[in-house]
Amino acid sequence: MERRLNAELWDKMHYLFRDFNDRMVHLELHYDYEINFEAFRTVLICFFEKAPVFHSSFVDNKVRPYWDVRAYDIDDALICKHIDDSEVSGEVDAFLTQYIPPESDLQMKVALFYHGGKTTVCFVENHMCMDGGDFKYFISAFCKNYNDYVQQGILPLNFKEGTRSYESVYSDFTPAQEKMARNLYKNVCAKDNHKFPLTDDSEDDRSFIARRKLSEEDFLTLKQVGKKYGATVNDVLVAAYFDALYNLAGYNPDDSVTISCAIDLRRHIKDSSEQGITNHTAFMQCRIPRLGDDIIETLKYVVNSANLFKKDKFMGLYGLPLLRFGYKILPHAASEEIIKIGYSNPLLAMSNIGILDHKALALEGHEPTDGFMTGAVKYKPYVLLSATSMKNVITLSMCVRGNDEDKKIVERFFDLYEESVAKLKKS
Amino acid sequence: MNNFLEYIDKSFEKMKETESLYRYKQKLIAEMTERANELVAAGLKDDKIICAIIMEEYPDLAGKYKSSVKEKATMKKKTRKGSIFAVGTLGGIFGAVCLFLAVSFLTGAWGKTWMILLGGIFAVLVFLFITLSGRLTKKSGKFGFFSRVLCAASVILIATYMFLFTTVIVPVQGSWIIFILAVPFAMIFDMLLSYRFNKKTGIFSVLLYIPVIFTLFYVVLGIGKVIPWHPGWLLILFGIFVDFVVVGVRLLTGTRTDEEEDTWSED
Repeated sequence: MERRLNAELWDKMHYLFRDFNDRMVHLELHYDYEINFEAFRTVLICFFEKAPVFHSSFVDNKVRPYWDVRAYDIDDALICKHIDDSEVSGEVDAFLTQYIPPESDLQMKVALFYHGGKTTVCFVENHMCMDGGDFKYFISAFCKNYNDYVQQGILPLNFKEGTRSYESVYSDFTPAQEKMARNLYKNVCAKDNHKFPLTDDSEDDRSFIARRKLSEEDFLTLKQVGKKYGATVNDVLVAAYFDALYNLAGYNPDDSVTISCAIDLRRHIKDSSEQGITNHTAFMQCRIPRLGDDIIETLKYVVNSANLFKKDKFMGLYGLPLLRFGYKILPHAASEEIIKIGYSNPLLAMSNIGILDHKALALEGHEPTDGFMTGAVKYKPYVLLSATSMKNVITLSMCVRGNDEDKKIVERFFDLYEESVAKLKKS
Repeated sequence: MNNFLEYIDKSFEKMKETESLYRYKQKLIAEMTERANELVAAGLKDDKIICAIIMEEYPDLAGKYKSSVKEKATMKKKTRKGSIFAVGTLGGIFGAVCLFLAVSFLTGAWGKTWMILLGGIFAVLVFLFITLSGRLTKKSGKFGFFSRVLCAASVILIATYMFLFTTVIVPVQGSWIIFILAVPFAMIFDMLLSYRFNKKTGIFSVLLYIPVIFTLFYVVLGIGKVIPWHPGWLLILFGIFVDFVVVGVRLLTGTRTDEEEDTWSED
């Protein structure tokens, strides 16, 4: 039966971002036992049926794009491989750095790597379908349904269905507030030319995911530092980002630099159980006037900047009406060109995806031993630093399409980041 | 498959079995079977899950059936109305043709009787234009551009027939003046209907048309020597004066409505 789904505003925006990144969101989880493949497969099919955008092809119609729901075979989305422990890293990297074209029939790919009595689970999905916030919901719901199905025979159909429209962010406002929010036409794009010191584009560029972990001890210390100076963990991570970046890139310490921080607009939605899986992520510009004389001063600049945003009831909602207007008045092809003129993709960005709840991600009583989630592979000169935490261990990651020299630069950035964290610990 | 049948039978067990219900059930079975095949092709092996997914996608079968029956009845009514309309229109034209031929053969006045045929065609066209204009207005809630054009076209057709009648059947000198008169009449209809349906924007039509209507009436009455050209031109100024009166009345009625609303909210 032929079926179409609306291409929502954020679907189109993430499609527009194809010039800046590969639109893939990645998840890696490690379990110390062998997952029941058939049960996993069954749950995955059920979730695909509940959210048909996962097996839809994006049709870039020049007037009005849409998703065309397609028939599929789950074995095209889910692979299962038995490998040696030594091969895990290579296989995981190869799988996670794959690219799913938007016109593909499937927008999510999953792999189960069995090795030495353990399982490594990898997910790659198109950011046009959902963001990190809903991906965390997805994987939590997946694990719960898997457990209920395997342990109690409950059918794995407990998954939220509903609207994917961006307008859900207004659903819990009063009429007066909604009217104000819908008139926030201001264009709030970052306009900072400071960039990450990667090399120029070359033929040797390949997608890679670089990661670094901060220990549980570091994480708990950062929390204490945050409490001491009235900062959140996110503020502390951003301060370390600034500190490492100024050193790495050799910015003038008196330069003002902006890092765009991803914010989840679901903060405006009180009850999201009626929502479908979608994107509700915008950027908040965290700007510091200069590098602090020490890292604590930098942290204070970050806190000031973040607090300015947090005071605003309509945080993150600026520009949405302008985007909607842009897409509404013209055919899609023309809208894209107009929006590209006004939209400035941030050169420096950060996404604190947050906690991956190891209890919620347990399968048949086995909690994941490790895991992380990360955003899209950015094309140079754009970068995004992602952060997730599991069992108080933070995994920082940066996905770049670059060459070996760029890998060294990113690793050097992480070294400097660890030094910044050490400075914070000493303070 | 048996689960679907049970689900369908249970959903309709309180309803009387009719041919329409039987066909609806057959359609449901076909759709559900196709859906089940899709899920199997996707790789789902658990029959219970397949059934559960399909039953979730087809909730409240009885309610949906009742809605579809209602929808069909409404469509039938619309089709019947449309058919009567089409038959009536064609019948009207055919009737005019028959009358034209009959009168022509009886009287031999072919030079004049074609006016019967023309009258019939014009009457059908005016009826169609007015009906279409009304439907467009009802659908959009506004007396929009196409509705206005259709109304104006109806007035022009009537004026054209009247002119031909006063030329061919009962010759009247200076009957060309009907075309000049048609313009203010078209404006009057347009003005009244646009104010009726679009009070906020219709007032602008009223203010624009009134001086023009008075000017055209002045020209017609002048040509017809009913009033002298001078000081008959004062009619034009009177038209402008009427505009001021209309604006004044509108402002007064607007103020009174605001006061009434304020009083209500105080209470």
